[in-house]
Amino acid sequence: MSEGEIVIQLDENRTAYRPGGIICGSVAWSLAEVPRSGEVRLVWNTSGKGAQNVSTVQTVTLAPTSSREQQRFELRAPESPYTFSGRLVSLIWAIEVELQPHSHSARQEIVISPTGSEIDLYAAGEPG
Amino acid sequence: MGSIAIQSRSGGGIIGRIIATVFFGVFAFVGVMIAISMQKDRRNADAASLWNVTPCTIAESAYVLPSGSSDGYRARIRYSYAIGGAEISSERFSVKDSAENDFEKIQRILLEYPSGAQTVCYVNPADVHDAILIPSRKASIAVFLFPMIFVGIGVIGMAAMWARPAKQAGPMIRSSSSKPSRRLLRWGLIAFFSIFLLVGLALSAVMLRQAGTAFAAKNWPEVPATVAFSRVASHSGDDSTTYSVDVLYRYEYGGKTYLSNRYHVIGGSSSGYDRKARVVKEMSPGKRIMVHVNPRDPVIAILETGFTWDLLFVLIPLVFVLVGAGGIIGTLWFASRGASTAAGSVAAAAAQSPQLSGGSSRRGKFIGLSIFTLIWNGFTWTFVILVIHDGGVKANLCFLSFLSVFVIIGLGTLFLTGQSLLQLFNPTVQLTLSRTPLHLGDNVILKWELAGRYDRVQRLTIVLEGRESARYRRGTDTHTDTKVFFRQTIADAAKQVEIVKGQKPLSIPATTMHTFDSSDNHIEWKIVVKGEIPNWPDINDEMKLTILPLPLSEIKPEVQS
Repeated sequence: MSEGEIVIQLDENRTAYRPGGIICGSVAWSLAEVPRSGEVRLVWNTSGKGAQNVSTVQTVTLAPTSSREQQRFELRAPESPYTFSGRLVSLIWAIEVELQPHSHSARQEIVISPTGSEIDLYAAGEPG
Repeated sequence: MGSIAIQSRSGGGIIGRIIATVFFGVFAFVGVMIAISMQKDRRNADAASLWNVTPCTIAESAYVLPSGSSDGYRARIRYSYAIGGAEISSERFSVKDSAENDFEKIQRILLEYPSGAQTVCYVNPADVHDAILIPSRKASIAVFLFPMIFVGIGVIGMAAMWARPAKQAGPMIRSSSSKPSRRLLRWGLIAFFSIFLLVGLALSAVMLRQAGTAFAAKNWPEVPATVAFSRVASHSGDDSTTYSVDVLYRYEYGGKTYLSNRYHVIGGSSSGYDRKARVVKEMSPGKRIMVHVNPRDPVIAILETGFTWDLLFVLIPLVFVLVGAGGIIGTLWFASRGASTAAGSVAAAAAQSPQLSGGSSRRGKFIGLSIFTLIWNGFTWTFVILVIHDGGVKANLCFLSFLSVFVIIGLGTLFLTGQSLLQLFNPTVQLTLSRTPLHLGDNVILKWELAGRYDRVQRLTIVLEGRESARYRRGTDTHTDTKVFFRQTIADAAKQVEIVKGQKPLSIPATTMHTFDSSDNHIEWKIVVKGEIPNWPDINDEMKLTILPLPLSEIKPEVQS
C-alpha cells in the first residue's frame, strides 16, 4: 500500500446486502502521520436530474494508533431505502471512511435491496 | 462495483450565481448610499443645532406659489435678530429648505411663525449673517437601521452565492446536514422577504388610514372656500412624467383663515394629463367651492370625500405584504420539508389510513385556485380600471396592451376556478383498503363507493400509479419533473351497478421501489380515480398511498454479489 492511501475492504468482496444484513469489512490506511481520529459512515445519496440529497445513516468511530494500520468495522444495512435507478432519480448506498486531520477519505459503493441488485423502476418497460 | 465513484453536485449554474450576486450587490450598494446620505444630513443638522440661540422677531410670514408646473410651494419667513447692536435679517428657515407639493406643511409653518411673533433662531458663530429658524430634527439612530437592512441582505445574499462547504480532500459526498451555503441563502431570503412584508405592512397601514379618513371626512363640517390658485402639477420620473390636480383654496373655520390644496385624501400622481386639465380648468382662481374641514385639525381640509377611484391604490401595498408573507412561508416550508425528510424515511409516521377520499384534494384545489384568481384578477383589473379612468383607452393603448397579457391569464384562472367549483359538486369517491399498512408484495382488496349524483358517471377507472419526481434549479428558477414508472388498472367499470360500488384485488408489486421522500427527490404511489361525466368536468381524484418496504421476515437471507 503506498503512502497516502486508504482502502476499504468488504468481507468476501461482497458489494450487495439485504436490508437488515450485516456489513463487515476493514479499512486500511498508510499515511504520513498517525490520524487523530476517524469514522466509517454508511451513507446514501440521490443522483440524477434533481438536486442531490445526502444522508448519513450510521457512523462507527475509529481509534487509530498508527500511521499504517488496519481496523475492522461492522455496520447493519437498514430496512430502507433500497438502491434504485429511475430515469429522473437514482439512490446509491456507500461506505465512506474519513480520517483526520486533513480529511483523508475513501468511498465504496454498495447495493442494499431485497433482490441483490439495484431496483430498476422501468424493469417492466414503460407503463402503458 | 469496486470503484470509488465521485459525485458532482448539481443545481445552480455559474451564470445564475453571477446574476444573483449582481442583484444582491446592488442591494448592498443602495443601502450604503442611503446610509452615507443620511449620515451627511445628520452631520449638518447636528452642527446647526449647536449654533447660538438668539431671540428674533418674525417680520414677514407668507407663502410663495410654485414658479412652474414641476415646482412646489414654499414658506417665506423673514425674521430679524440683533448681534452686537446690529440688526440682521434672514430668510433661511432650516438647514435644508425645500419646496413642498403638500400645502398643509406650509400652512402649519405659517401658523407657527405669524408676522410679529417673537421666537428664537440659531445663529452660526462663525458667520453671524448665517442663521436658521429651526434646526432639523436629529435622525434617530433607529432610522439608520433601514439602510443597514439593505446592506445586510446584500452581503448575506452575495456570501450565500459563493459560500462552499469545506473542500473535500477525498471522494466523499458531504452530508446534507452540513450545507452552510444553503442555510445562509435561506436566512438571506427570509431577510429579503421580511423587507417586503414590513414595507407592505407600513404602507398598508398608512393607506388604509387614509382610506378611513376619506370616508370619515364625509361627516366633517362643510364650509365655503375660494380657489386661490390652480394648475396641473407635473412630476418627472425616470421614464415618464406623471401629473396631479393642484388646487389651492382659502377657507375660514373657527374665526381663522386657512389655505389647503388637498383634493382627494390620497395624493399622488398618475399619467393622463387631459382629465386633470379639465378639472383644473373648472377650478379657476376666484371660483366658489365647498370643502370638508377636519374639526379636530382645521389645517386639514378635503375637496372630494367618500369613495374615489384613487382609493384603489390602497390595494397596491398589499402586493408587498403578499409577496413578503408568501416568500417567508415558502422559504420556511421548503426548509422544514427538507429537515423532516432529510433522512429519507419512509413516512412511517404517516401511517396509511384504510380509507381514502379525494374530497379534500378537490377542496384544496378550489381554495388555492380561488385565492390566486382573486389576487391576480383583483390587481390586474384595478390597474386596468385606474388606467382607463385616468386617461382613457386611446391615451394608454400601449400600457393596456401590456396589461392584456395579465388579463388573459386572469381569465384563464377564472375558467379553471369555475371548473374546480363544478368539480366540488361531483360525486365523491370513497376507497377502502382491506388491510393497512401496505408493504411491497401485499395483496389486498380495494373497495370503492360513490356518493352523490353517481348516476351521471358513465365510466369509472381506478388506477395504481408509481411516480418518480425530481426537483432542481436552473438559474434562479426551480423545476420539478415527474415521470410515471408503474401503472396498473385496478378497475374499469361502465355499468352503473359496477360504478356506484365494487371491489377488486389490488396487488402491490414486490420487486419495485417503496415510497421514498427526500428534500428534492421522491418516489410516490397514488390511486387515481377518473369518472367520465358528459357535459361536466370529470371526476379526477388522486389519493396518496404509502407503500412500505418488504418486511424483513420476507426477504431471503442470502444475497451474493
